Amino acid sequence: MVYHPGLFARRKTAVHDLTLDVPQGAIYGFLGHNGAGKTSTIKILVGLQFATAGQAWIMNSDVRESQTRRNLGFMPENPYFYEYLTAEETLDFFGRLSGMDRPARRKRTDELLAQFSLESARKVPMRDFSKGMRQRLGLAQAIIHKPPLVILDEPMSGLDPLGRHDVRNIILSLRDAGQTVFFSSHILSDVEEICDRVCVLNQGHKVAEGPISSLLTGKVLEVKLSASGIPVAGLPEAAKLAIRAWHDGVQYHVLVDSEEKASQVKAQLEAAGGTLRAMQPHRESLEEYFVRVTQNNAATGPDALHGAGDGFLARPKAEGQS
Amino acid sequence: MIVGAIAMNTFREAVRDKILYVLLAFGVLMILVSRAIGWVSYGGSEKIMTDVGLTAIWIFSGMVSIFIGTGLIYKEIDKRTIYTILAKPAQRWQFLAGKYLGLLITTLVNLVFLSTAFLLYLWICGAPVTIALLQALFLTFIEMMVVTAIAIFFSSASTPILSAIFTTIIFFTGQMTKWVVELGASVKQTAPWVEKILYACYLFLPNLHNFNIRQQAVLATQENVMIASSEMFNCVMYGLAYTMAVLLAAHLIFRRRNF
Amino acid sequence: MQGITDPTTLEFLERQQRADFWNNAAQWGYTAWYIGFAFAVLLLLLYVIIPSESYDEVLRPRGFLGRFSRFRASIMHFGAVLLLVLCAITQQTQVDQTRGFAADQDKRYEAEIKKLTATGNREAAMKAQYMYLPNGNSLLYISLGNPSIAADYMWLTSQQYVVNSQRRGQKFEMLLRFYNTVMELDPHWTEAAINGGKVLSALEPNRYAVEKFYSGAIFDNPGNIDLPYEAGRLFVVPPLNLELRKEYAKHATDWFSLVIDLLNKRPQSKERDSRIKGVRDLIGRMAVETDAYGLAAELLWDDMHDQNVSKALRQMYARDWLNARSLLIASALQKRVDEYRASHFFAPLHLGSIIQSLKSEKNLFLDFDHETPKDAFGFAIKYDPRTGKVASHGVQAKLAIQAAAIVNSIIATTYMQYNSGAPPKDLVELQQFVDKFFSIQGNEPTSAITNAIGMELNVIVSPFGTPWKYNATTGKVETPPECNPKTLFRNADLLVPDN
Repeated sequence: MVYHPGLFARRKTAVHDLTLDVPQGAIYGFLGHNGAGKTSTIKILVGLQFATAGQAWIMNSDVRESQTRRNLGFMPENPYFYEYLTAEETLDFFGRLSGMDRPARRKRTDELLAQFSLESARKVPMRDFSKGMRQRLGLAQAIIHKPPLVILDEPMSGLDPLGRHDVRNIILSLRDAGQTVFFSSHILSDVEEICDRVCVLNQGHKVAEGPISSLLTGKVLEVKLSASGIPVAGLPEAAKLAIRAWHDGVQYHVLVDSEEKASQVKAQLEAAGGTLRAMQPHRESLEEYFVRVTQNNAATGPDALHGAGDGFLARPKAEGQS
Repeated sequence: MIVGAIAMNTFREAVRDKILYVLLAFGVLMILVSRAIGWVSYGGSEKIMTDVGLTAIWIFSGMVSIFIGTGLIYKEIDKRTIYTILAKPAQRWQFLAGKYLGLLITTLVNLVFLSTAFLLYLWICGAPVTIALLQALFLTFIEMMVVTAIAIFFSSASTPILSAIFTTIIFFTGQMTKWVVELGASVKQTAPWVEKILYACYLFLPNLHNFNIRQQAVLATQENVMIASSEMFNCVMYGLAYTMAVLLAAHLIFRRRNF
Repeated sequence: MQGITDPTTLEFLERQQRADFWNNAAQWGYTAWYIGFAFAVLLLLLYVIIPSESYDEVLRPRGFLGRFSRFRASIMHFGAVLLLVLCAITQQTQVDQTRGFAADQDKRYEAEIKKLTATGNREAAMKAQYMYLPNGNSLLYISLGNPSIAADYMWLTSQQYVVNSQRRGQKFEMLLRFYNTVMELDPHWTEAAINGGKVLSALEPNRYAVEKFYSGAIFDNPGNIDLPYEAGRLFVVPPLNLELRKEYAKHATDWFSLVIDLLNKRPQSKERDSRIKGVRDLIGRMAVETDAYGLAAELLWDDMHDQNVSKALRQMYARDWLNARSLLIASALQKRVDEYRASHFFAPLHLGSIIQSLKSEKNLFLDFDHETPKDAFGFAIKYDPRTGKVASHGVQAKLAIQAAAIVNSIIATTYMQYNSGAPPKDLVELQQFVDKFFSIQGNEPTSAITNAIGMELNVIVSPFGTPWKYNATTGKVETPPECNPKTLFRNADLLVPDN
């Protein structure tokens, strides 16, 4: 599947010339700052917004046609539903909108409620749902008509770790069922865990794309050595080589920035009579990669929606709408 | 039936809106009070009662159409329930049509409720209940069809407060467009082209006074005369044509609106 | 009805104005409409011709028309909207043709104000009051196009005015203004016109002003019966002035005749017939006073043969008929005498010479002796060649019965009361007393008295033209033997026998 959206949204260019390669049956992560253009892209794909220039296709059918959406399932960030409808009625309603007839809807509703463990909340109106339940129902309505492509916008926003765990499992089960999942997220650890491929968006430009393994260099950034049997004062020669060294009362820890130095320190520690307890290499994580890549490509000038990340390790801002 | 599903949903949502019940209560209150107003008069007390009742029904139906109409679409957009709906294979015109139908059903239910209360009350008080009154109420419904369409048009294009303001203005000035033409007639001598322009404008504006046969209906009770069916036909066709035109225009705007 | 309103002219004018308007509109309107229609059809045709936007790269439409694919949907929308709006316009013109515009509303209201403001000071004071009173047009706008409710509001406000206002003198004008506004807003609210008229007539002795108010409403509601009926009833009250009496009776008769015409157009029913009967009674009463004896006689003849009416009532009608018929004969003869006199400079010596010319008039003389015309009572018509006056003895006798009774009651109740029970010596004394007594403030004579012995309250001369025969001992005037009701009305008893 190939996408070529390019648009000018209002006075700002939200997305430039984006081409994405999403293989069938994969889980594809879509990453970027708040305001990088993720949600705009997704809205164009889903038909909520219209590209001012260029076209977009999904599975060889243009996104502007309503037929395209038969193959699509979408869940927006923080999905809202009609408060007075029960879970069952909500699913029934969305089933109708997806063009399913009554027996299919009924069967599917039962399946989904069981799958997402919402059976107990079948007759409960939406206003009494918790955040986690809402998210699960949002996923349920997205896949109610078993679309080959499922697009999710920040599916794990605002969830507690248990909720995130649930959603992760659901996404994995979708892949197992042969469906392609495309989702955007801030939570890079989750993305790292489940995605096959990612794309990083910065100020509306694509700055990286590919399988995670190929993006992450695998280069060792730091190594942390922990040894016992070293006196509290520590080893000055180790400390010279290290970024940091400290004694926590039980063990002596040394942080170095390369594998050679790590072996040197290891030798020093053993020479001093200590016992090496742990040696942990720290490879570049997705988060670090992300920060590196977005900082390097920070655009300047009037098109900038946000400044580049603040500080060395930019934490994702509060979950918000871009 | 996608349109039907959205319509029923809209209706259920509208029925949960508190404003509806407030307006309904005021409408019934005015109907009950109409008797007291008429009672004070030493002649024409029944006429006054019927007048006040019909006008109350007209005003409160209008308020329901305007306030609930403009509020609903905005709520969808604001609360983002519209995102999940529009992302479905359903087409945008189906959404608009469903919303309109749902609102129309709400207005119809409201109108039927108020009308029944009104006619029952008339009957209890011994005032005449004739077919002409039913005709007047029917045309009020057609008027509400047009007003609801206009409310949908504005609310699919702008914010709820502006939509409500514009629709209310049209609701009231639409009653008086006829006198705009007469204004033109009075300056016939000095500037004849003004009359033509005013008349042309008049034809394009929503002339809601067409549906106001309350004056004839009230007096028809005295001699039990009905309004001519050809006139009714013209008014109904006007209402239907104008409604469809407005809804199409709304769709024109809505189909390319970015959310 | 001439002089009050002329419906044909005004209605014609209104129709003419409306026709002019539509003729003008047709000239340029039709062209514009057809142009619009053609444009809409063109747009829809384009919609059909232009290939639809294809989202497939391979199938992308080429060629000149292909460039417009993007606009296809918009074109369809515009075309359809235009078409529907034109449809709506067609219907709108239909509705407008049926209902018409207000056009130049009757300016009677504004004209009245102009008239009033043209004169003096008092009017300036009224103008100040007028300022707080909204006129019809502004109320239309305030009520947002609901003239019915606006009329109701004005009506209720006028009632407050009736109750609250202190200025008795100007009350009529202000109320008239209120009611005119109400009728302007809601011209078919006849109930308001009737009730308003009643209030006005209670306040204002000038009947013609109220009649004018009614006529406006009658003009707007041509089929209505109650309005002309009320207008007629205005004039049933006897005026103080004898000259006005005839005028009043004529107005009343005109209005009531209109009512009967309208009633006759309605389908036959018991209710309708009894209504017609009621109005004819009134006409009958009025007719005698307006010298419309022929009409009166006709009506009374029909009434006395109406089997639905009780025997006693019919006998009464019969007696009235005798009276009317005698008056008819007398007045016909009187007219001929006057004509003769006009051409011959003196009155004829006897009636014989003019009777011949009357023979050709059908239905005039039923039982008639060639030489001596008789009245319906059976008496010979009295004619005095010196004065040239024709009179019916029977009519005079009937009047004498009433007059004698009245004179006797004046003597018995009023005179004797003031003279310690003693009757007057003669009628001259009685006359002096009557003149003095009834001229005192608060002692005005009742209509019964004035009807019987006239406005001048003459108690000396009887209706026969000769002085009463007065019996000073009994204190009563005596009537000749023919004044006995049994003998006087024997012809009536023949016409409507007891059994």
